[in-house]
Amino acid sequence: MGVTRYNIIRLQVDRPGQIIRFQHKVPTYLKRCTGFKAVHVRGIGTDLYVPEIGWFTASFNSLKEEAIVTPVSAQAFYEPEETHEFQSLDVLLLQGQLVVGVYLDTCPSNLFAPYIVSLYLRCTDSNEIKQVTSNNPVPPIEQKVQPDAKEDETEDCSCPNPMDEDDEYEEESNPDQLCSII
Amino acid sequence: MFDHLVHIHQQYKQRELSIQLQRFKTVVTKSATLRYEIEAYNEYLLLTNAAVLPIGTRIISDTNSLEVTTALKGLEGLEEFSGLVAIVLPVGIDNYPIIEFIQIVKE
Repeated sequence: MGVTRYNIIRLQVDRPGQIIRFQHKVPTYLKRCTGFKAVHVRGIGTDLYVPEIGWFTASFNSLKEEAIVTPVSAQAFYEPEETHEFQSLDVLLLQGQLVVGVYLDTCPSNLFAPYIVSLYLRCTDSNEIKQVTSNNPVPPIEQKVQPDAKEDETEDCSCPNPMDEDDEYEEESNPDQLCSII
Repeated sequence: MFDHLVHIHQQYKQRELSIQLQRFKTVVTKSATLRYEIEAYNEYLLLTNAAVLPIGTRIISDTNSLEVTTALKGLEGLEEFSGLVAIVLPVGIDNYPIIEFIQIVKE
């Protein structure tokens, strides 16, 4: 299991429509980038959620791999819906090469104020492909559920694993059905 | 002397991309139309005549963005665009340029 390191690319936007180019060298001991997140850090105060104030594009391995095109949103000042989710990415990093990209401001002119945006890159020194990409791991689904007629049918959906030899699983009439309420 | 074609081949060799097609592609602009869109998915457009574009022209693509400024006029470098490429001319120009790209289709 490798270590995870976060690379932060932080940019200051000073004028509407500004185009900012950046390049960043990922430390050579990191082997793979597994996620990214583009966020508005501070500057734009708004009462309403603004879905797009700009766009990040970034390519890895010195322009060999175009991997990121993502909008940046601005959260409402009073009710921020903060999310810590990273979007998944799977880029094998070549040693000593650059992450190169552009940030383009598209903020509505009536909202514009100088602001800061960041692009977070989640990278690891391991070459293994990580299965769980979310920061909030989903608890494992129980495979065996006691049938109970009183149970609320709308709450849970459990699937017996047909590959599990211990379970006596019989395929029902609809083979396309991936999950059935027990 | 900077040679565009040599530069292009060096660039794509460095990126380990092989070129399937290389040719010129032009966008003829005309009055009353300030926005043009070109689809350049899985290919690259290299702008060759940035110097003749009106100041304030913006070229926005999925991989690169450019605003033509006076500082850009003296530069020889080729800007590369890919994906959906939008060209937006500034309001109130007198001469509508022909925008020239070298189109590179990769393998």
